[in-house]
Amino acid sequence: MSEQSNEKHTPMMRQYLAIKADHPDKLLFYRMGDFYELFMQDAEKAAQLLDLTLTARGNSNGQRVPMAGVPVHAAENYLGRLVKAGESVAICEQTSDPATSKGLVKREVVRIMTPGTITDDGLLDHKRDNPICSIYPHNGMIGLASIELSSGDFLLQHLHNENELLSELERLRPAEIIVDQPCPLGTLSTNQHTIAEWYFEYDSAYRALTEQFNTRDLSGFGCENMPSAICAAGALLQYVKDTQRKSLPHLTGIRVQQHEDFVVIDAISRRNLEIDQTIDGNKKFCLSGVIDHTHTAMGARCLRRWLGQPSLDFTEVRQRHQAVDTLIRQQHYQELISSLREICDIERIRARIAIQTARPRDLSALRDSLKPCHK
Amino acid sequence: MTDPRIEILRENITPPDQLIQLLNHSIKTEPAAFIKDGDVIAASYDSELDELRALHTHADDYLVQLEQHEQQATGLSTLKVAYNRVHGYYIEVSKTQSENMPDRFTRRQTLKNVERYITPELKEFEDKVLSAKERALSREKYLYEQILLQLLDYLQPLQRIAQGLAELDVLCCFADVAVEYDYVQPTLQETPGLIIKQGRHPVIERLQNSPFVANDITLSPDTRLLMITGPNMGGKSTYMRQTALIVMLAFAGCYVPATAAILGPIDRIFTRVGASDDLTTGRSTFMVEMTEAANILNNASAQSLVLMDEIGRGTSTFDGLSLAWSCAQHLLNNNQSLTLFATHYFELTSLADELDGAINVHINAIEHKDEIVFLHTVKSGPANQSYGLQVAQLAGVPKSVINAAKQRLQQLEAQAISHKHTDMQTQMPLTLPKQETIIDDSDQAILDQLDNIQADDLSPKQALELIYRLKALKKS
Repeated sequence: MSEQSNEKHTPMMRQYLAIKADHPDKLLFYRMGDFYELFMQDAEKAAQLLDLTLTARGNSNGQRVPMAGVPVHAAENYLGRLVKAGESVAICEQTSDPATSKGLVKREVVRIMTPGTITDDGLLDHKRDNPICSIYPHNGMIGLASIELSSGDFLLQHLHNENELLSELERLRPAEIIVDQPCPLGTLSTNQHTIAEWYFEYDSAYRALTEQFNTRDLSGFGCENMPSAICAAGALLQYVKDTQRKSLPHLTGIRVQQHEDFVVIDAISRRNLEIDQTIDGNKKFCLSGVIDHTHTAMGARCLRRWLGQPSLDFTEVRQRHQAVDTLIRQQHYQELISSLREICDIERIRARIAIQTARPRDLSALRDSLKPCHK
Repeated sequence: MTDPRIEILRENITPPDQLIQLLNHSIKTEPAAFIKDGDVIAASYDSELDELRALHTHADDYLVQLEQHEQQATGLSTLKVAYNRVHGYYIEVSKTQSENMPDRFTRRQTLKNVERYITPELKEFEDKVLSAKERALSREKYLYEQILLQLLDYLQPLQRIAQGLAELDVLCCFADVAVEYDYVQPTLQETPGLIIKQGRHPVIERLQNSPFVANDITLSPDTRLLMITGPNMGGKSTYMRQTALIVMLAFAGCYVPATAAILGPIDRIFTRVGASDDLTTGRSTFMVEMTEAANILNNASAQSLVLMDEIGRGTSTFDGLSLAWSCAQHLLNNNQSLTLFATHYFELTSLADELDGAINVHINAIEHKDEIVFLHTVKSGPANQSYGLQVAQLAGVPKSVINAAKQRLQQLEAQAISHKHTDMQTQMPLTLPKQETIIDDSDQAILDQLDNIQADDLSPKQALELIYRLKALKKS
């Protein structure tokens, strides 16, 4: 949109177009009183995805402007549907008081919701992690970083070929993948977001990571000799921070994945063995569906992590077997189970505390869940 | 409880006292959903908020007093004080009594039966109360933000607690599953190989109503390849998958569906099962199959568990058979992986006779009155036949086709015997000999009739009539 043609728009549309220009690949939810409105192509797309009525607003630049909107109080439901459909949404709020401000009320994008960066309880599957990954192939190696925003887990790995990459992606099942250029990934291709190449630039990626962890260098994390993974991790961190518009104090370090610690299962075998879903997508009649007798959302997710990544650390595995044996022998687990039933999703509430979006009922639920744990 | 792991977890899930105190003192028992609605911060957490709230709560008392006072002062019995969103606080009297209202009351609104008034005193009160309400809301919002900031100090203990609870939950889940589904604790050992006694498929045994047929399996560096034959639908792939799933459960820390299990280290699990066209990339079934096989042959180690199901199915018989043979040989001699190799090529069973480290097993089925009964038990040695025709019959393939196939099979088998001393694989006829006895539908009808005859029950006359009927069928 050239300056020339912008001049003919109404002042409000000029403001809209200026904000929209910063978020060309996202749906812009533009706050107008009690509604979030979408305009032009965004309106057409959202109307189709959400089954909204497509209307038009007045005349701007000599043309009717297509418009669709959702009421603010019901926005969460609509946002959830868009994010599930793989869309990213920029939420633009009124940042000055309409009663006191003269002329056009100020507006700003306060938050960006993307499939891999949401932490809202209502938008997430309680039983599954919702990681976001970033991939950076460089010098014959593939760097893969992933962040699970609701636990703060930040994982880094260096992969040797596409097969290893697909295996890891099949295990992680990321909600979103960040790349510097489109990557052929079969069924996962649809979740890709291409972002500017400079995000992956080594020096700035390295700096972003040391700033986040408040360290002088990355030697303490054992990833110094993994340049392409550092590029991927730095890009991912900056992207996630951009979306949250807030600091992420619960991301406190990186974990380097050691492949020899786990039973490796390639992507095809993982699908064939129907571990977390059957070939045709059924999530009940698969291994995790049958074994899942957990009583908390945190347990359900941990179970899927453990089943998805069997450990070759015999000491660890034997400890787990031993603990199960103890629980069965003392029949203690029945009592534990009944107290676990009452426990809320502390892990995800913690994430919302970290980004300061926790709601009052998160805190009361947290308090009520911690009480029985208190000695 | 003396278990080291559980002790640690119990320690980890203990929250810091200060955190409990903060949450206890600051947040109401049942707070509102949103901070903008107020009603979130607990009483006596903040004195300023308490004062602002008191102004608001005491407003009711004040209004009751005011109402009584004004009723007495004016002597008007219908006088009352009320509130609505549009006009705020007002004093209301009935139309008839309104004539006697003193002048210090300013008329605000006239309705059909009542008049509404305001006084300077009430107006002042209203300002105070409403602003107190607003100030209380903004005070609550401020306090809430401060609490959220304070909670940042507890991110680490919260992480520890969440992780501890998650693991305790999973361990309880494993215990619950073990008891309810009758699982056994697996033994891990450093020597490679695996022994599973009476293993079951964890998912299928939960889905089917009939009892699941359990099976043993032993794999070791000395006996590392099982060549599995037996009827389709007999349970070859269930047997292979349950082995992989038992390994996964065991290394996840869970008990396993078996009566005993001893497992050595497994570095990778590979499966090549089923055949499906990869529609997304447009590769053919055979191409997909070979790509997957290549991956396994290039990467499987002596500690890998490899499941190969019907490799070579996607191409012609000779190609497929030869490929399957050489894949099995490579896995056995080069990869030396722990391998379950299921095939419908009966010819592959001779591989186990020729090479060390491989043995034949088969899934049992018996024929009963020309029908097949799957027993699902794994027995040593090769299967003696594939029961392909019986399975086809079960699937509802027309009887005429089954019969034609039977005849063809007999011919092929006769030829195979006549070539017995030459190489069977290369001598298998590519073009089939001309068939003269293919049965058409009318013949089938006659045969069916004959099948139904109880010869001993026929009278001579009935027998004669039957011959006429059969002749008629032949003509039609």
